Amino acid sequence: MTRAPASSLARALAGVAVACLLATAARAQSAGEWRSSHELWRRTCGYCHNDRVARELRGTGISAPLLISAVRSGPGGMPSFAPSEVSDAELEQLAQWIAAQRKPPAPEPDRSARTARHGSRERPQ
Amino acid sequence: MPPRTVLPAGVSNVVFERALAELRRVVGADSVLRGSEPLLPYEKLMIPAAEEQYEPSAAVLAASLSEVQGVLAVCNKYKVPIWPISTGRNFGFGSAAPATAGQVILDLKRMDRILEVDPVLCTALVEPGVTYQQLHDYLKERKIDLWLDFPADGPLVGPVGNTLERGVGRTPYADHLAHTCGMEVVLADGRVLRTGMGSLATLPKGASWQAYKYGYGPYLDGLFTQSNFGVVTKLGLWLMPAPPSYRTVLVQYGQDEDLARAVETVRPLRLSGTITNPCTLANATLRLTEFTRRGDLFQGTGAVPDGLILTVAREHGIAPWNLTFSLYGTPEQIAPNLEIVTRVFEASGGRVVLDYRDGVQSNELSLRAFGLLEWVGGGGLIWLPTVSAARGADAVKQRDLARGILAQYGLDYLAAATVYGRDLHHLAAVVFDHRDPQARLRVRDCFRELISAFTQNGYGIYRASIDFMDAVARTYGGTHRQVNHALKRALDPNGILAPGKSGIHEDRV
Repeated sequence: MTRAPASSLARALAGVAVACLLATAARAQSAGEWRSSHELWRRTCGYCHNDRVARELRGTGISAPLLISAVRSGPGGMPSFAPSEVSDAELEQLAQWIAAQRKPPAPEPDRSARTARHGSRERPQ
Repeated sequence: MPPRTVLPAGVSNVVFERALAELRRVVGADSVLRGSEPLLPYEKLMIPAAEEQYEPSAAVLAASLSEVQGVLAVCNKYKVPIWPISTGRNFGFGSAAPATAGQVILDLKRMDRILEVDPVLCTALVEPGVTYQQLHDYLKERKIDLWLDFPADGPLVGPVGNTLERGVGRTPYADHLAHTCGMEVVLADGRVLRTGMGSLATLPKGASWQAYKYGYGPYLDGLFTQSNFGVVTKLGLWLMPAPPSYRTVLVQYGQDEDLARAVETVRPLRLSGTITNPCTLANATLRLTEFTRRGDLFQGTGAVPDGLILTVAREHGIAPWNLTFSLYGTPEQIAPNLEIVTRVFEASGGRVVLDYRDGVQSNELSLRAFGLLEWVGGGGLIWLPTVSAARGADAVKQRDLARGILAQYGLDYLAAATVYGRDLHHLAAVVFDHRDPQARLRVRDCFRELISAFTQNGYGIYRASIDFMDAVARTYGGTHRQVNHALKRALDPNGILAPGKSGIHEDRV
């Protein structure tokens, strides 16, 4: 689908104003700046710890000391995370959040070559 | 934890403690890290080396330009070497670790402001600690219709670090350095250089700094990539207007020997602009890492036999060579190009599959690529990225060189050949069990042989891990090293900035 040029321009101009207004209010993603444990999970851990790349952690009750130790050292193929990226206090909260989650059902095994099953990639307007 | 014994080269314990005390006054006591436990995250390695070989002596967390200047002043005063990192995610090249033990990590992650996004000119200005995830969220939250181009580990890494390492992605903006415009660089003596139009004394805010790269006189930006001539504290980016639509195409080649034909077929389509993004030919083993682990299909020693790989690959719908690219634009623009590429690839013997999903070509962040590290397990990875002209024969020769040498060392050949345009990048992932010291030694020996063999055949390495920076620098000849050395002496006479980066040292050519 193609957009009408006029609406694109209007949106772009609106975007300028929004960007200028909010540029300094933008929430960063470093130590002490994470909005919530859920946000930290969704933006980092959750990419892998979903039983696809690495084992699911939600609902496992991993202890805070163990979580902090793993995050700082990066066992196996896991990257390490510095105190500039996430604080110990945020990791302690994350451990509590993980323990409070229900373990989600295991994902369907992805055994295809990820081909046409995903359909057209036309972007929604 | 007791303080570490590792010290910067040539600096006594007394002098180092004095320097640390001054650094604490610059950034605050909590932002100077010392001791085994606080420094652990900076030591984690995937490359085939033991952590102690590259132990930093301390880490300093700077949060502003003035703090960076203050840190450099202290380091100059005491001749303390410092290794700047943005997010410290140079995976498979050394991650956050310095090129030599004892350097102080200058961690810039706290400098994470997105300073400007201009949706009209499609530009951004960011600090080193900004990740692609953060910028992606920023654009999405504000409904700014711009795309990012990121590497496969996009959520964790950032545009500054990746661009300064001359990283690449998969959209039409894949050449990251080519899509930057303007840098702010702190020189070793604390002066601040803004490149391009940024140096114009009368430049009003929001003017042409991110619009025009070259300014006046020599174009300097390249000097601050893969180098140790300054600390980049701001980077201007050009962002891609989100296309109205796109179609990602998979072309499968059924025989190993189809590689040359595939490259010869792709190159004209890239050069004519029919295809506008890099075209990657992934081999079957690399693709299989998305679905299975080596141990699930082979328990023997040595590389997994080719026949077994191809059999299992077929079960997953994977061909010996799997080419992917995308067509971007309006459906009306895409339709004729899709017809052309389908016809051309089918005539070359490829099987064309439409609407393949590949997030790096379509602004979707993922870490699925980390499955690569699970192929063997144990977290070992070193990349072999080499460049040739985009010719089929060169792709085949690199495949044969890499596969042959890796097999001699019992290692699997996981690789992709990407046609960017006139150049072809052959990227091999050497994965191994990092916990096994023997495996690390074996991979190091193998890597030395790979460097030698590729260089002898005229294939240069374009990005090196900290372990092999000197070795790779030597392959580019004496004059190249002498010029780098002269620049280093001129810009950083005390040699405090990242000694050894890209084989550049202040005290030796």
